[in-house]
Amino acid sequence: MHILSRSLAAAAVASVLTGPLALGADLSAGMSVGKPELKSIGPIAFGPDGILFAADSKSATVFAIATGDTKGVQPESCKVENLDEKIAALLGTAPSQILVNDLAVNPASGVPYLAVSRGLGPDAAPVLLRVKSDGALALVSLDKIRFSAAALPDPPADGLVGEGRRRKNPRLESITDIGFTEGTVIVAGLSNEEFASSLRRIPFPFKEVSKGTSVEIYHGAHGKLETRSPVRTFATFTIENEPHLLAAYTCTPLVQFPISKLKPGAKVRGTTLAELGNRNRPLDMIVYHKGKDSFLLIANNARGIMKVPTKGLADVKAIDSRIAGGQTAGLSYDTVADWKGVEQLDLYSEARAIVVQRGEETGLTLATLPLP
Amino acid sequence: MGTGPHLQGERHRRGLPVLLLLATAYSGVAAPALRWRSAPENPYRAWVECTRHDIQALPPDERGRADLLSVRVASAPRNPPLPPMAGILSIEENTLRFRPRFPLEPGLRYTATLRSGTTILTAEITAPPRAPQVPARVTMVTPTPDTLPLNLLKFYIHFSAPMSRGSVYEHIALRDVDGKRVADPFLELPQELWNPEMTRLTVLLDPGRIKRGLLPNKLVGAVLAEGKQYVFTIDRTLKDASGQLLERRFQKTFRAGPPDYTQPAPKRWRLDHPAKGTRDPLRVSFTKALDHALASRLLTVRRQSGHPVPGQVSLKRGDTVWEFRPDHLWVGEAHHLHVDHRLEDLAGNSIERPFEDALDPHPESAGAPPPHSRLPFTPE
Repeated sequence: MHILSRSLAAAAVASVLTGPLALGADLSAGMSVGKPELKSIGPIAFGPDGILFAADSKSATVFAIATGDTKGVQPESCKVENLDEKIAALLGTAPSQILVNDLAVNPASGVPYLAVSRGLGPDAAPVLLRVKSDGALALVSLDKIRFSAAALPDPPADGLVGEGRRRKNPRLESITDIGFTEGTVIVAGLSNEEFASSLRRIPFPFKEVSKGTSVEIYHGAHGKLETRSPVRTFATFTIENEPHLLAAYTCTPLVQFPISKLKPGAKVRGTTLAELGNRNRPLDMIVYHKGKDSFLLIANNARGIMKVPTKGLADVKAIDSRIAGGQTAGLSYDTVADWKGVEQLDLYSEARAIVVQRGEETGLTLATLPLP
Repeated sequence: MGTGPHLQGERHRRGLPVLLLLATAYSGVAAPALRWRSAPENPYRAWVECTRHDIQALPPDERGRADLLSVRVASAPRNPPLPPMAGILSIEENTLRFRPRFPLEPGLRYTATLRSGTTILTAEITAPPRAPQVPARVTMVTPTPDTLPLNLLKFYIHFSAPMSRGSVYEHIALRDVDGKRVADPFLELPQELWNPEMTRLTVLLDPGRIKRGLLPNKLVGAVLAEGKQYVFTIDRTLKDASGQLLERRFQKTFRAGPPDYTQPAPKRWRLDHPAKGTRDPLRVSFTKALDHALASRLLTVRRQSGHPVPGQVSLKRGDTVWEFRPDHLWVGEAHHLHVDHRLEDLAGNSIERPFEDALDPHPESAGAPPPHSRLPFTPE
């Protein structure tokens, strides 16, 4: 997730990333001032100039919000214990009614933001919070703010035919990840009906009737079969001056392909770099740099944190033969054993990641951790 | 407005009860009064007011305003205390008013505290509990057949009322007939795949275990084994949107049959034509069970002009028969069944492509298959 935050921080330290990031342009120029009517808030990611991209699955829309949070001095570290209790207190409800949907650090100010649901039912309120330098939580008011919106392409039309008398459309696409790179918002989604991948590129600033483009992403398994499986989480990485997407699929392969291949209606087959192993569900991933090397950090529900050196990514041959006995194939990885219960992950600074961790008895904690 | 700390306004009596209203460390004839108010039509939309105060202007900073008047959810004492509730503080016509940003939560107790000079006032309120409702229940689990392919891709759980999200995978399970749980059968997505009303949940079986050639499939095998009986359970502990448990546990028993790697073939479907001038159903018999949700959405009846014919759809005989009953009488002109090729069977094979596609040596130049087809019929 949160490609640009990674990209900017990465560019600052290692100049590995390339491409025009449009930092000089006023990206909020074409926005209107008002209240973005979010029905839900799912994955979030930052672009330049404090612009936040918020995915709203319920209204099948991506909102670009100019937070105005464009500078600041980031504390070296950040920790908020009892995060769910504190969010609940701020929102006047019980901790059991709070869901933290995503975490993203604004690279312009270094401030972490949280996308939260207040309530668990269909009437849950979407809430955006930021973490102040003293660790206090603050509500980000969206009542009067500069924003623009892009409706996702091909929203399901309300069919005239429904089951029984209730003719509501039950289809909903859950946005599983969002990122910004190279002047483009990238959105991965998963439908609650058909099993298909949709990966969308929406040029930013959004055009008036921007429909975006949808592409199909396949991964080949072992040179025999391919599946149009949905993408669970992704990050960008530059290989030989070309931005690539590293995508973890719902059925575990880690796949890469050049972003330039994402053209309208294209059918793109990615190169399977690795299989992330059995009973392993990737939740979130970031790319970071340490010295001359760079690494991919993947938070998983079963295997904890996986640290994958990206050295030689360009040379990794697609997995094309049966994997003998191993847990993963292709790239090698280390497990970061002492990061437990990580549910959300982003890059905080050159030296630290920021995570939301669930403890067995302590509830949620927001903490920065030195990059492994 | 009341004249003393114990008095409540008319709107108050109809709205929320004030449990406690204390004025301490203050004396004088016109003591300031702090009280809760609520909208007559919505007792959860509440705010706090203070009258007869001597505050001339609001503190400029956020912390100063929170120190002056704050609302907290009542909880055990904490050090440091939990943050106060977000809201907007204003002075209008000499009334100091704090409007919480969010409605009160049913059953929770809130304390408002005003601190000004030596004055400390508190006012408490308990939001009324939710009105008792009939607990939600599972109305149906699809697919409905008793035998399902061992590469089954998804279940849909239909509920009678909106549900709550956040922990559904803790409350559903797949067991064998001896009650032993099948380990990790589902693709657990933090988003949880609900419909907008949250009355239907889509549960995907782990595609990594279904798809041949992937590591999970090789190491632990498919989720289901051919010939075995299974029970898919939804525990009573799953909560509806109002926080109530389900009325009862639900279970669906089925047997795993052979895997299905074939695509649905509309050309082989049988259409039983209705008679014109009636509202008899158009009946479409598939050659196998198809995905309940997709068959309900992606098959539409259209007139020659392409205009959809409004009507009701139902799936019968183990999701192998699709029936369409029009809202109006059939007219005797050419119609067609519009078939969207994203329609899938129970194993995720769509008309467009099988779940597992043979690897195309030229994937990016392959021509796209047609997105839909038409099956003509004329009511006679």
